[in-house]
Amino acid sequence: MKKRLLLVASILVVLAGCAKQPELDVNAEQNKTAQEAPQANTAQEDATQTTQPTETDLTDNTTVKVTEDSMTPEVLNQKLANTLSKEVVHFDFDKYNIREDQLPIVEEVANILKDTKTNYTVRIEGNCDEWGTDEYNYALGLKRAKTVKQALIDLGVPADKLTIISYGESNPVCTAHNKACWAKNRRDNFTLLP
Amino acid sequence: MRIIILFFMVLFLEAQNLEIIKYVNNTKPKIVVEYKTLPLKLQNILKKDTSIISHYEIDIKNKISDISEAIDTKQYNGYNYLLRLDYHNNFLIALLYNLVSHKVVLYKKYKIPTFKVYPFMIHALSYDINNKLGFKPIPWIRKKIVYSIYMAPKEQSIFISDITLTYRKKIISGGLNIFPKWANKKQTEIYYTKLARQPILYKYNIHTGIKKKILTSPGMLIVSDVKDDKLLLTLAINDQPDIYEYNIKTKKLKRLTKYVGIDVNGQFYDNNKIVFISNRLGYPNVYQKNLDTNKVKQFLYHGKNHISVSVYKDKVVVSSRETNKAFDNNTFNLLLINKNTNFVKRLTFGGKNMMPVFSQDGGTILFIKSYKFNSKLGIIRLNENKIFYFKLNRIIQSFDF
Repeated sequence: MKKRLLLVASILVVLAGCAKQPELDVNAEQNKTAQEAPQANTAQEDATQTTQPTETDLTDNTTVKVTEDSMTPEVLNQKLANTLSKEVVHFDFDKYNIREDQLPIVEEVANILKDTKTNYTVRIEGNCDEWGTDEYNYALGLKRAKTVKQALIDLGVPADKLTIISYGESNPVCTAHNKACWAKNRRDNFTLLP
Repeated sequence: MRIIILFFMVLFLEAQNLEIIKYVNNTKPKIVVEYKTLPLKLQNILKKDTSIISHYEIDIKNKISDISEAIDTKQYNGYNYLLRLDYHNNFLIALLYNLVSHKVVLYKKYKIPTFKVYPFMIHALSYDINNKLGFKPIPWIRKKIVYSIYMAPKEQSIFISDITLTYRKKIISGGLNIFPKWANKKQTEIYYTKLARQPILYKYNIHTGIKKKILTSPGMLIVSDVKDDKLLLTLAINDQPDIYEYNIKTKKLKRLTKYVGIDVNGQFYDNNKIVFISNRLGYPNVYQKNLDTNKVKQFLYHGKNHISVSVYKDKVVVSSRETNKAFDNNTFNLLLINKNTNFVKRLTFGGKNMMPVFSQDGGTILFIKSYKFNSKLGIIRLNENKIFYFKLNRIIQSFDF
């Protein structure tokens, strides 16, 4: 079992460089194609050695659980980046105070960051709706990021692990012109910096 | 019938003085245009310029065989001037003749390196015509506009255009390039912010393409105003948006405002003051700071929610958010306020009108009107009481001229 865990960990190291987050619950059935791939590639091994991922036979259909202790820093970062990308704090129109209903999200982000075992820097990105394109809107986005940064610090996240930026209205998640979109765009995102 | 040989008169052009036009019965001077060769594109820009300037009228009439052929003045009763034009091989020859005094008032050759920049050539001609007719100079019509356009999420490119947005050239692309500002009066260099890992302020030469990094700062970094070697910046060194002055020569950075809320959009005002937007009273409004005494006070007492400002002497133009709807369209209108008399004039009526900027002579205001996926560059001629719009099928993020 220990040997199997090491194998899984080595796969995850390789997959960490890929754009898509690797699944942590590895299903061997999905690796059937991976099992065949190295044989097919043998003839052109020299040409592709440096660019193609190394794929390893996992032999059976057993599902393997991987604990964080067995993950490399790269994998941990990948996991953290993926988790943070799903966290969004929303704001009211023209406001930068954290709404009561958004506080649990900030607390969740704080817990994620405090629990992580990797060295990290997280950028809090303040965003605005389309009602303003000039400096005031960028400042509003910055204040939204700053408010959440301060809340995270108050919740025990080290200040030197956090940085902020404002994208004003330049990074909308929703580009339609309706109230649902505007509400979605008044937000903070969290990005793990490389 | 009086026939005048023009080429003879042109010889004496240098010695002639400008003539001041006096409106007769309050009518504008009328110019009849004759041309040998004048592409339709040039004619259209000439018509647009004439509309924007609003000082005279033109009537493009007849083709001629040669610019120096004799003039039949009698057929142009009711006109004050005759303008003869001939364009070929990136050259435009213009001759402006006073039909009343029978004098040539302008005879000039305009050269362009490539046809693409023809709008600037016609703007130069319009500038000269306006001068020769004795009106107040309009240098802004020859200026280039620099602006940032929203291309996609996290992607904004910087373009330059003429004032009618007919000429368009992309000069910077890739990533978020925002808040371009002309770095000098000759309009050869710009400052702009690139949002990378941190905001970076660059100076970029539009002719050579040489880019120089000026500053980086966490959070936010925007050039709000340029005066010789001094820049007014909105910076967030400690995550806090405040106004700073940066001397490009000495590289000294000086913090001018210190407030826990929002201070942005600093503008040089008088010799020793700045005006800026702050939310010190819980909503955005215009404030001023005396740099000698360090005193900050409210600058405008009319209305609130003024989110951007431009000042020319006693005249202040603000973009004011007049509605406060979280889930509906909001209205931003431009208000012109006389600082001394508190006279307020509404310049726009509805829509999203933002980022007003006075021309150097204070007689014209440029601004952006946005609607869903489009923007328009608006030109307000204050004395003439007219607004003109030039549309772009993109959202303009910010501009300078």
